[in-house]
Amino acid sequence: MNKHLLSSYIELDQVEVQYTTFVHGLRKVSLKIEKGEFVFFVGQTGAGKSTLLKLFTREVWHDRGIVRLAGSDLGSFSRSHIPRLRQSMGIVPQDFALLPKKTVWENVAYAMRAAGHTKREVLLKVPGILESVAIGHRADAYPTELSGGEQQRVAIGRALVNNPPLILADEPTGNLDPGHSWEIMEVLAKLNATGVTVLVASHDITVVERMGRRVVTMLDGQIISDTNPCGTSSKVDLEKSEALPFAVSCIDDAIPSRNFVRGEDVEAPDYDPIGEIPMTTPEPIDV
Amino acid sequence: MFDRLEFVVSEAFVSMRRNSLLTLAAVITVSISLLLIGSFGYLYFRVDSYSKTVPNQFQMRVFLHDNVGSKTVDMLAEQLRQEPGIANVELIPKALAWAKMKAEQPDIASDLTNPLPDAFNIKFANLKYANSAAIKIRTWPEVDKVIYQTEELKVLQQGLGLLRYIGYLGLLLFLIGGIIIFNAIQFTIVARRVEIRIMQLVGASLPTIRAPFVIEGLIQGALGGVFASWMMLAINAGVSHYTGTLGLTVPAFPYWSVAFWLVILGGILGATCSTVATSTPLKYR
Repeated sequence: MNKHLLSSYIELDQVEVQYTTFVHGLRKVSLKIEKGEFVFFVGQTGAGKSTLLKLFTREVWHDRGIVRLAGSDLGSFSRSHIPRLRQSMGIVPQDFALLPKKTVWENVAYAMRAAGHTKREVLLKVPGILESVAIGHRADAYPTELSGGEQQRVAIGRALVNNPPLILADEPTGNLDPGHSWEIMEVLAKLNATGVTVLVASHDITVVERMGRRVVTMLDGQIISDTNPCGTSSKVDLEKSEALPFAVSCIDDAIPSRNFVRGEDVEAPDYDPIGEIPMTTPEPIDV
Repeated sequence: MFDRLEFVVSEAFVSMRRNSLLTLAAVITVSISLLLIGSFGYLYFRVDSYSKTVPNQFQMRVFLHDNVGSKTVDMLAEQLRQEPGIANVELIPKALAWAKMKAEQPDIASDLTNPLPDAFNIKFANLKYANSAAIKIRTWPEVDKVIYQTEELKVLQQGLGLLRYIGYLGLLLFLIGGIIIFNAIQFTIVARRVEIRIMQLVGASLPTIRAPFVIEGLIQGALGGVFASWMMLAINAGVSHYTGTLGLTVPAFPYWSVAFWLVILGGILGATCSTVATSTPLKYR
């Protein structure tokens, strides 16, 4: 076993997931993610990015290899460990999964109560959670009265009820237009700035490029490239990556394009990429 | 602890309110099945009380003529003991039978002289000899009457057979009631899949996820038991009134004990069915 891998917050070593004899979810995937990182997993449908996230939530169990989270070998976990494991992470689904007959406040409160928090804790904590995802002003609104971006913000707020050090978001912008997609990324980036590790599966290449964060590109259950914000690829299968629109060969190019209107003569804002993202909605662009 | 209980119980009531029609169907079916089971128990209690007053199928009663002397009585007793299949022969002297009747019905017996004959109470070890023994004993000149498998006993046996069928029907409906509760809970699980998903997303414990559904099933079953108890109360009142108009004295029916067990039985059925219904679909996966 690679000793270097064991020192990271999240470690995957030669992980394989096989759904059926001929269908592989993941093929010998090795990866390490440090605490506080913001990582995108990109790739076509069926590439294995959702499978990879589901390894951590134990919705998928690996057949071979090692999966470690915060030093714990998830392979040794039984189903009875899953509730405690999930309490240590926030899961953001693509479809929001909000209760239509409950208000924004009640949706988050319900999740807190289900997670075992007392009424008093709910009263104390929910306002702060709603403010942290910038939805406090819509606390009394029902999901049907919210935009897609607002609904997803509620879903992110709900994922924060256990103060998780890790956020897993599977296609969080899959149902959103570019403007709202950017809103969600801003929220996730702000959470990341507080030290939370954020893993996002996405096929929204526009948003991924603009964020300028680490990007792991997947194809057929394998990692074909792993690029970091400085533009250096730690592992790139050029032959495969050239065939894919998702393969981000150099993220460095994406950072200046944070002025949101790439191709136009607009000066990029001068800010720290982490935690200082302006809360303005970007205009959609053609890629 | 109380906070957690409040959460799961309130979830159970929300669920029942949301699926009120299915809840009603489950409660009605369980109450009908429990009513039938309760009725079976009620009738069985009544018939059993009555059956103790008549000889059962293992017994035969032989009444002698008034003029039979004591020596002859002893001789007949010995002859009876030698008959095949007879396990026990008990002489019931007319004085003893009369004393017992006077004790049981003092108003009727006080002005009369003893009209009862000496009698034998015979118990069979093997019933296949009973018919031939009855035929033979009836030919003896000292014997006035032999009571064995009377019409009364036949009616009683038919009644017991009917009760058995009612009991089977009650058991069948009991099972159907359980299946309806099972289905109601599974339907509720489908209707509440978003809540369940949210609970699983935030790492709610399995008991927290399952408890509202089990409580819902328990309440449905117990409510069925309560309704069945109310109907039993009405039936008991009706039967008591009817027997009263006929001048019959019937033993008191242990209503509260039966009502208690009907509610307990309904609750156990509901909790069991809902536990089974939630065992697979609510697992973390």
